[in-house]
Amino acid sequence: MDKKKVLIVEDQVLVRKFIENALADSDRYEASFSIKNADLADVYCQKNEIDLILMDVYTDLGASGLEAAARIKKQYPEIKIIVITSLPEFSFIKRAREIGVESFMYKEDEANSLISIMDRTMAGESVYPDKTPEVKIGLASSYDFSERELEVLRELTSGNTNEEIAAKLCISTATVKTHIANLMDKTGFKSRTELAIKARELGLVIL
Amino acid sequence: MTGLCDLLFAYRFVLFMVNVIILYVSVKSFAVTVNSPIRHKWVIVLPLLSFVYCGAMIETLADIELKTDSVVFAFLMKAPAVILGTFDFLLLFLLIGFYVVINEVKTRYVGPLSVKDGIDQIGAGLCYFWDNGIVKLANTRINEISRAMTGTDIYDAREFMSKINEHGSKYTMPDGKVYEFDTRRLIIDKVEINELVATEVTEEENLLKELMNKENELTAFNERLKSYGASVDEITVQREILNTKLKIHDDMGQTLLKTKHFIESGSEDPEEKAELIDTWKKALSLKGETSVPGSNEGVLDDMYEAADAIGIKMHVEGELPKNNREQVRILVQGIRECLTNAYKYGEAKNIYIKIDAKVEYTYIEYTNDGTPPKEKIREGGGLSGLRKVVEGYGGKMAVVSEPQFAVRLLLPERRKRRG
Repeated sequence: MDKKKVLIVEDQVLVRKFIENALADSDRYEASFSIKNADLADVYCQKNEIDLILMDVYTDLGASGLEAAARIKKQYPEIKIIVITSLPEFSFIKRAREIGVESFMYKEDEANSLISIMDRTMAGESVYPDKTPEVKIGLASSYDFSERELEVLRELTSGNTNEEIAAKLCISTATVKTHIANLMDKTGFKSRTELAIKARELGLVIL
Repeated sequence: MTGLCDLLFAYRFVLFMVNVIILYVSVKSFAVTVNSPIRHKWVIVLPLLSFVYCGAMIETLADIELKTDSVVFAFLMKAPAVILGTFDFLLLFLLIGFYVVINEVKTRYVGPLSVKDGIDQIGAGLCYFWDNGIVKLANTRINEISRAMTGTDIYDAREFMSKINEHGSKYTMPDGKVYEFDTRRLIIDKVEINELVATEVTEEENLLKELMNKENELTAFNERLKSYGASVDEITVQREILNTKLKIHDDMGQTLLKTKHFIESGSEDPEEKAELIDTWKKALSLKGETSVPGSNEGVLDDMYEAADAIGIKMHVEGELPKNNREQVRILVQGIRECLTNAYKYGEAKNIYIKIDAKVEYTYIEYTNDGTPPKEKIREGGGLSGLRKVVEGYGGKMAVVSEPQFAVRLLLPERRKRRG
């Protein structure tokens, strides 16, 4: 049986080597290419027959794996994609589904091995985690926040003012203030700076 | 007879009293009329005539009572008593009416003094002045401000205005009140005059100061957050590397443990040995690998590799923009589009990138040796996507079809801020 050709898009050398090793151990897959920058992923699909892409979300130079996945899915819908990330940002799963990405996994997922998810994906299954990994932020768990609160938090990390956040999310400034107050209340942080920095560092929200 | 005499006496007494009242009202009306702003000569005539008439009547009645002959008022003595009485009453009513009307007019009339009184009551400072600076009218508040500012009342409005401008159109009084000044030109009865209004804005000023402080705080916060955003990726990456290193550490530990077991067991199984060697190779292959996020290291190599993967040779002239991740990313996105186009349509073998990274801007040009497009390039998904990225950054993009397909980008030093 021919080995399935895999394109690995992952900017961290160590993780990439791990994946390469895992693929080398299996008899069903081979790593055709391993690249660091998602912006270049489409190029590899032009000439080479790729069956599966393992796509990191946040790659070299800040290139977005999700954007690349969207472009590739549009041109080559037959190529299967598994998005792999370590960032708990809740919107990633949603966007991946919208784009039509087959499967999604967290790097820290111990229960499911990469190869088993690849097998299931190649068998036509779509494997998505039920929820984002739980992250502790201040006194709160990431599960304590509503979707709207996380959206406000994401905008907050960009350094936008309340007015700018309100305009972007099409809500009133007062509502933004309420959400931020709730976020601070839940986490116990004293300032919005602290809140924004922690959220960004943990990857709870990614702009 | 006595009855009739008594009646006549009573009648004369009533007439006398009525005339005394007329006398009183006429004097009162006269006084009001003289002080009145309506200085029309005819207005004074009624109280004056009434006064003369009732004087004559009182005199006549006295003459009748004292039975002395009056030469002057003989005609009044001969006039029928009923007519005189009726006339007296009519005159009295007329005069009272006149008094009421004239008094009303007086209280409603706004004269120069009442204007001054009025504007002094206003909380704002007011001053009306001619073009040469001479003050026509100024209220107490503006004079207070002028005294606080210049030491004197306001005399030369133009000088005062230049003082205001020194303070930047706002002035804080020693008592902490803040006034804002505003002038406008008025045309009243075809005469042009300038109006200076000093409005108290203490509360607004305090709120404004508070707002400015808050805004400064917010700006500082936002700036901190923005600069932080640039380094956070690095922090995240470093954290992930650390996690992976920990994993490797565990793997190494396990490999060591396996080796220990193998040696201790004294096994000579070649298969087991080969597996152990393989495990060691893998564990060691991960050692010493670190990526340097944020640097341009490897970016060009990645591009060469990508071109190579589709059988195109890439030639780069010039250096990558330094310390500008966004520009480098756009450059990479550009090469993606140009490689795709060159492969798909142009059947190119070579692609050329010219980079001119200056301090203020970076110029990038992509060309290839493929077949030139037969007609003008219609910007499809890929190129228009690139255009969006470039223009979003504040740069310019040009697509040329002749003589050879070329994409040119001009990127400013920094992303243009919104607004």
